[in-house]
Amino acid sequence: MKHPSTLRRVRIVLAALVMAGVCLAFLDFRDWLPASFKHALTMLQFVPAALAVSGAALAVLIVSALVGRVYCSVVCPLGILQDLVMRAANLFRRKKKFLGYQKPANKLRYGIPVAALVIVSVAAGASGAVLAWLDPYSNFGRFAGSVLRPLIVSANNLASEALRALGTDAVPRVTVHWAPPAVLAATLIVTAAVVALAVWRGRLYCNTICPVGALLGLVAKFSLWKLTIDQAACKKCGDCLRACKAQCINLRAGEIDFSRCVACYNCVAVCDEHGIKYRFQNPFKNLRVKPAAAQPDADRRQFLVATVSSAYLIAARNGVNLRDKHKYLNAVMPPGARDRRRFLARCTACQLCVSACPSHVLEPSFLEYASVSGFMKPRLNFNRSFCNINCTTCGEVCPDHALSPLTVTQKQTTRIGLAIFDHQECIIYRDGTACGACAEHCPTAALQIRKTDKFRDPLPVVDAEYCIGCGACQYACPALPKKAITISGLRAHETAQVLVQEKVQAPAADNDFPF
Amino acid sequence: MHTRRDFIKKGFAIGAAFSLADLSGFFTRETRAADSELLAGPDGKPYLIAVRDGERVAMLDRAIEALGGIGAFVKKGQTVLIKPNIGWDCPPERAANTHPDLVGRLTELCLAAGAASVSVFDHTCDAWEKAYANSGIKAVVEKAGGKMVPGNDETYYREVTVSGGEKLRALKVHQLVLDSDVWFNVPVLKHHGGATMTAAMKNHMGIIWDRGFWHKNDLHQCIADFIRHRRAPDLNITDAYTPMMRNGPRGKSVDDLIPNVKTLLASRDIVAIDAAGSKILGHANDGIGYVKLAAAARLGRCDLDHLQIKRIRIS
Repeated sequence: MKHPSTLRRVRIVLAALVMAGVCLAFLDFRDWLPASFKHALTMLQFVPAALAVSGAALAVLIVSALVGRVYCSVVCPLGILQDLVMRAANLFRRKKKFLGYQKPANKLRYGIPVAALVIVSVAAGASGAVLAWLDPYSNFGRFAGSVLRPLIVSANNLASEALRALGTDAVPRVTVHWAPPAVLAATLIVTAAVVALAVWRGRLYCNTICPVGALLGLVAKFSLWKLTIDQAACKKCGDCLRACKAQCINLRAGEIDFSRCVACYNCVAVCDEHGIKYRFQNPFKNLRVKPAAAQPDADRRQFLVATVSSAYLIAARNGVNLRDKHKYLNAVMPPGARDRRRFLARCTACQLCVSACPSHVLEPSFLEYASVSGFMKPRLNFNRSFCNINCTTCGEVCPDHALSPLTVTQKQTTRIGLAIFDHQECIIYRDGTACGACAEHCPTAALQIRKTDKFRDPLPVVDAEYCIGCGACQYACPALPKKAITISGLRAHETAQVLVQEKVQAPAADNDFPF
Repeated sequence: MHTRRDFIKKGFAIGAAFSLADLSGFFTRETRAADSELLAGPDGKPYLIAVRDGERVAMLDRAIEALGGIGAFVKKGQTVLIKPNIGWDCPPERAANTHPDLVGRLTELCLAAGAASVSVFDHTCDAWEKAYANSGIKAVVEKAGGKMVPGNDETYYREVTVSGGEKLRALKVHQLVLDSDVWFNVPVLKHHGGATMTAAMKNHMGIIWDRGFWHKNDLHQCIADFIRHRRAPDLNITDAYTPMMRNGPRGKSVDDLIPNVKTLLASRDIVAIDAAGSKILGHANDGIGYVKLAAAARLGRCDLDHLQIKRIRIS
């Protein structure tokens, strides 16, 4: 750097803090950090914030309208990741790569979100799929949660092994959970593509594919303060061009395409003439001064129309509660998901809940939701663990409120599935020996080992009204290969009754030793 | 009309009347044989200690004292393992886990006796770190100078054989059980949906890796078989302060507990201590399948009438 720029320094420090925070949120494999911290960091992310209709989304838009796409350099973890990749790539090059100016790829840039939004509005059922694939934060989340996290946990276990050889249990082992192969493959492919684009052409991803980049770019085009080049001072040395990772400085024309600028301030720092600065711009100046040049920008117009109309359609569709045909669902949705349609439309599959789940019962699904939009979204895998009745972590961390936050009391009566008993597989019925592992784990006492007229031995009996589908019974059932008790998911979550029992009676006079 | 309620009320009234006078032993001792005719423990101390009506710490102190003091179990420089029940992510008042007061006090006693280290673990049912923390056990153990050890991963367990077991021949046991010089089995007395009761013998399911195998292969027999394992606990201490009478072993609320029992049991014989536990829960002394099987296989005694029991009342 020729001379230090405060703006650039602040940008780097903030970006480092955000990146570290988001990574911690996803990699906290000992559950040391509170759910509120994980939520606070991720609810700043634009797509989740927009889905949750939170003020954070508005704040991002306002900042962009004032000073441009600061979001893309400071808040978006995928953007920061690309910066890190570029830095790393330059370490391997003898000379820093010269990217130069490129014309905006507006067709692609607005086309992808338009196509996405058209799909969204035409088939609201698939809207969740499109968002999940395109949201930059969620793409980063999947990378951090499904790729980095298991690697870090494996490293922890190696360290644990080494320390145990030295005679200390200071670092406990943690079970490594890999995402299903299809989810892992999808995540690796997307991450590899983003990394490759960053190595090749800087922030190309952000200016061609990313819908958040496209939207904020549109806003930044009209922002009040823009980085501009002081024509009088400019010596056309090209330093700024060399420093720009968005390829948005047109030195020949002496202009910066501020819709593509990600506000990294590298150019500010390298300009010997201090010629690049934020300067107030009348957002409508261009339109007024050059009416002839203000031809209708077909792509942009299309984008705006599609955005508004599809937002309306999504709102309309979500408002209409279309009744599902079946009560049961193959996959079990996390508590707070409420109903399948709402959940799959909102969830962006960022994997934060999967990472934060203290029981590790959540995992990204493959085809269990039997829908394109269900791919990679969390489901409960009761062969791996079960849902703790007092735990509300997933709803607390969820940045887009695809999972509504629940109080502990609400959680304890939120029915996410129903335990279905198949006596043919039950150890007690099959072998005539005691088992009761299912009843042992049932937190609501919905499942009890009870004598009925139907069978000789007392067998598990499920009182459906008290069952919340936590899956503790399925997890505990030792029958193999087929479990005797399994949870069927519900398309719409229900509210369970609470079993009210009188105070238990002591078996005999309890004021002396009974032996 | 004499209803059962009236009868119980009268019973309480009479009991209360007697409690005013020092008539302890009026009913029971007469029918019991003299201590000399009864079987004492291998060390000449009473076979079973039962303490009532004190706070947990006081009851533990009295029980240990009656067994010859902590020095009878822990020698200077020895490594100690305490295995409470920490199966559940439940607070102490729910009595789903061994009470932290008991575990904390025992840790103190062992360290005071010169133990080189005191380790505490359980192979929990709920997430282990939550269970350790919310049971209150982690805090007291660490405060007393002991350490909490994980039991959540198969690599902590080693393959052992059980000779003479009917269903159980080989299994994986936590390394601390195999390597510690002394180990205390410190369960909590509870109803159990699968095994009818859980106390000392059933607490073994928290030192092994594959519980599913036991459930699949005749649970009662496996529990009984495991007593044959050469590394038996040096002392069993059962927390029966507020035993869980139903919805066990997890329990649903404090309404599942019977509050007036306030008992602590201690014995070197894991079968005898469970026979006593089953009496507290209202079963016959051989009313629990695995107790009966173990006694029949002469792995321990469940004939409480023939054992020297020291009954201590703190009031």
